[in-house]
Amino acid sequence: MDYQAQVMKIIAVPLLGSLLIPVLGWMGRKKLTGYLAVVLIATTNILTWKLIGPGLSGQNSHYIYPLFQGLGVTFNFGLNVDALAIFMAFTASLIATLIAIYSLGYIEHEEHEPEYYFIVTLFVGGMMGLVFSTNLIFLYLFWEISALATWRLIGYYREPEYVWKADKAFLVTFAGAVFMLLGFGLVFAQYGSFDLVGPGSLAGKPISAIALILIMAGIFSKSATVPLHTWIPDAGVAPSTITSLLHAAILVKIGLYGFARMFLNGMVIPDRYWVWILGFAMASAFISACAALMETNIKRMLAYSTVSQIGYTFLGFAAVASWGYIGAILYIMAHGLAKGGLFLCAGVVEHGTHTKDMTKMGGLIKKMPITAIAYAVCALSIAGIPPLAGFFSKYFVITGLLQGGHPVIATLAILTAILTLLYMLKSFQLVFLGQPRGESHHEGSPIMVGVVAVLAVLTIVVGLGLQLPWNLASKADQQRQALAVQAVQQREALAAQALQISSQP
Amino acid sequence: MNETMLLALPIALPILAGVIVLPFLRKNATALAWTALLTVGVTLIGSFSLLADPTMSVTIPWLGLFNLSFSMTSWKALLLGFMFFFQILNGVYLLRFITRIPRPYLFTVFSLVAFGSACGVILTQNVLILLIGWEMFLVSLYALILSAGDGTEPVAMKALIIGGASDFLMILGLMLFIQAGGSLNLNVTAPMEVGKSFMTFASFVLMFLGAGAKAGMWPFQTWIPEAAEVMPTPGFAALPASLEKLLGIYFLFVICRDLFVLNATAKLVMYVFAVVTIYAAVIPALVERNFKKVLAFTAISPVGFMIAGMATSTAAGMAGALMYMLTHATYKSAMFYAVGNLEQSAGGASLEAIEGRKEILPYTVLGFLMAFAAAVSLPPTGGFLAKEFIFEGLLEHHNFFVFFFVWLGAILNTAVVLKLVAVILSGWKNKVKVDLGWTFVAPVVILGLAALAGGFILDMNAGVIGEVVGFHEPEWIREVWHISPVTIASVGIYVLGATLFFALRSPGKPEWSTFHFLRESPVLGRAYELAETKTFDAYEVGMKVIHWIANLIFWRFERLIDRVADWFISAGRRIARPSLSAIHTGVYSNYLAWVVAGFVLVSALVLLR
Repeated sequence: MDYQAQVMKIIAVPLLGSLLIPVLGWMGRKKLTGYLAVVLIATTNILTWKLIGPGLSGQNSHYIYPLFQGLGVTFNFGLNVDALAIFMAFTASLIATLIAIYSLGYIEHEEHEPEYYFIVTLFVGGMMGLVFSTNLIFLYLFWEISALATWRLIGYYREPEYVWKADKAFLVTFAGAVFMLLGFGLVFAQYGSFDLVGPGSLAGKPISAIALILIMAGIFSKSATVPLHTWIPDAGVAPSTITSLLHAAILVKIGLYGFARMFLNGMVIPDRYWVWILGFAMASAFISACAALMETNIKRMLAYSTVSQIGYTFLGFAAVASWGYIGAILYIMAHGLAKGGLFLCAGVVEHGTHTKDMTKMGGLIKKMPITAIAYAVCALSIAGIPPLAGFFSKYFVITGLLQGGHPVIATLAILTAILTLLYMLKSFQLVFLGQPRGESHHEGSPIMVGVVAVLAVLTIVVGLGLQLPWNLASKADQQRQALAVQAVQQREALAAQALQISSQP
Repeated sequence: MNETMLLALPIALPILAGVIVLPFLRKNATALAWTALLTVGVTLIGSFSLLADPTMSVTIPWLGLFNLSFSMTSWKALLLGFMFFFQILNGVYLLRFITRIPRPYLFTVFSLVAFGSACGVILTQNVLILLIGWEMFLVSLYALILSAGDGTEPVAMKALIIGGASDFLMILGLMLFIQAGGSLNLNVTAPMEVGKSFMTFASFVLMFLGAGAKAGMWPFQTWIPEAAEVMPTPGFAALPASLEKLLGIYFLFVICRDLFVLNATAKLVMYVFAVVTIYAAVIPALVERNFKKVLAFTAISPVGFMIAGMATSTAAGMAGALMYMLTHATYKSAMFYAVGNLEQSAGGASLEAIEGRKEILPYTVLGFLMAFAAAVSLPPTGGFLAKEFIFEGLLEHHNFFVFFFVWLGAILNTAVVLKLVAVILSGWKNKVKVDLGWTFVAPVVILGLAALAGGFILDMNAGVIGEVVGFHEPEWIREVWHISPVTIASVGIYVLGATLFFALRSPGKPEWSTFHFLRESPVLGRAYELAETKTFDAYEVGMKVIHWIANLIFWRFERLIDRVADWFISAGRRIARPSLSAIHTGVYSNYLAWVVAGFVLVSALVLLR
């Protein structure tokens, strides 16, 4: 079946549709810009539904559009529709839809509404483009759309301090992306292709250490992995909807997705380097968990938590084992839902208390019961308490680590999970329990509270009804394994060919 | 109803009722209590055919990897029967007590969730589902502690962190077990030799710690006395004092019987934890001044006896541990309900307040005394049978050293419980004989009677217990009535325990002050002082260590990275700004030149490849 039109729509609707938002703003219909953004992003999500069926049946299609041919080089635009891409597109657009709906209540009193909705929608478009791209250069272009959007959104309030933090985020991720582009150049110089699938592509080709380091710099900077993570706690100055979008739906997930797409479903990392990636991921998870425990600013604490959980997801991917891979994919969804919920809850709390300092909050459960319950559910999911979605994902990730022969890392991952439980519980108690420590507060607007409640319910539903996302993730794993087998066969054929040539007189 | 529905009923009905029905009644505390009781009653009626047919089982494949398998056996029916019995009495007690709970809605919802989860833990044949049930139980415990109102947050957090951390250890153990070739499905897995490899040993230790923590084993026990002080009486009586211990020991039994074959090292590990648990509880109990906390300590020390019984791996030791599990849940619940009544009468739970109260509460005291008989293992209570079999198990393997420590612990335990009885009975003649309403009294008396008749109840179920521990002779339980060295040891416990109490109490001084001279003793006194500052509290020590590490990493490492990043970015901005300003002229031709230069660069890259 031909899905290219569908995928084109998924990319084009938010990407081109976003351009209509400033037009509405210029026409003075600022209030409508939010609704248009919601419609565009929700449509994007609805369009991904049609791909779930093929994804579940294991269909894998790719479409190549040659753009330049000559001088012995072919440069293509390509689309790849496989279970991993479908899972990612669906998850990101679903969470982004909920965040956009929440924004209707959150941003309505802010200035620059059209700009906000334009960039958010463009952000989603960039994500969709990246998810389905098979060419490294297009992947980079979409990657940078997200960087620009991040820069603008973090500096949304325009105070000099916030602009500096936005610059910091942009410069770190941009610098990483430039290194990544250099890495792509090295790969191209080695194999003559930027394509991850198709004839003559990079699929199954081992890459050099330097190229790997350069590309990983881009991935780690985007996914906020230690030591390239410090921009993300600073990004908490942005509105909560933005931080939610960055942490839960799109930005940090781009790095993870890029890693999975390039190295688990594309090029091959030589075996000896995997342990380094595991080491970085584990250090990132542990160090940021410690930082989260020490933080008293709710958004910075949640940001450190994101860094820690991203480390967890990397662990799953870097375990190079089925359980780990499936766990990591599921955790992208589980973490996205729960962290989205937590940031939006933080938004409700911040709206009500006008502070981000958890030590100045307390007793809010009486005034904000729905937000408190939603926060508790999402926090427990991130902490890995069953039967919530986060538990199963973490369980699979750690099992994957053991399956991959890394018992020490698995033990450290468990210890980090205990730290996670500790800081999540501490934050819940500081914010919602005990005696009120501030002025009288009130629950957020119905739309905001409704969205956090939906995210909490989805966190429970995904945990209890894990079968569907599991099926999609396991199809992605089957496709990864098929590629891995193909890569081994390719390498064996090349080795045999080389042996044959060298044995000729 | 088909088998699936029948097996799902005791799990789902209480949870659904708690989550769906109770929110409509949240403003009416009495209605909440009645609905909770009604739900348990309906669940029991609906489960009659399940309890009567111990052959039911259902397996639902899930994710292609696990089986959601649930089954009923005679042994499980016995456990479920006990749980229903406790829960119904708890529901009765709650009918009037509910108005004294600051957050009745939270309490009733999570009581039902805890009960449903506990049923799930018992019925499942899959270790992962067992863990899920357990975690739900843990979250319920957290909520039940919080239901006691403001100020309970630190205790609730402590309970959840200790429970959660130990569960994570258990999950790791479970994963190692699977890696070593085990299965999550209890009906297909074969017991694995603990000594087979380091991985199996590590797996056993981690799972043992997890299960032990649930039961209240040292060093995971410190939240229990604190929870006893703040939790509503029915909450504590239902969960930490009985149900949680029952589940913890149940899983420990599953570990020792279904998952592993214990070797000498594993047994040694268990014995060490067993003995330390007994003394870590009974020594502070001697000088504790809060009645509820004393009872909580005496709820911890029996865990040591049960673990010691399990560690023997003998049929006698295992049977003793299981009988103790059931007996302890019965008598300890009775004691807690009784102290709940005494607290209402005295206006406080300190030993002084209870000793100095104006009323005697005859039925409550009667219930307490019957429970006391089981607590000090007097025949024919279940406590007597349980301790006899544990001792037999220990002697069967010539574990004289462990036997001695367990026996000595039992003597101290007897002395502590005698002190409680003395406090309750003090000034009997001068006090007004009244009692609280039937809802408060009935659970104490019924549970007290059950504790007293425990030996007969266990005798009636000897076949079921014998079957799970490996006693094949039909009359195995009656063997205990023969005179043996164990009998002498048991008599020694009563005599020495009583002697210790009566010898050390000071005539003319209040009963509660018995053993308080220990606070001034050179070694123990210092130990008590340190214990009061929580120096021996593993949770407090652990939290200090974690915060120290986190603080070090945060300020010395993570913030340093941030400062370095900021320095680089600032430097970059300082350097880049003038040059970028120079090239960023706003003139179209300038930008065009940049585009052309970029094109040339890319072309060069392509051509030079």
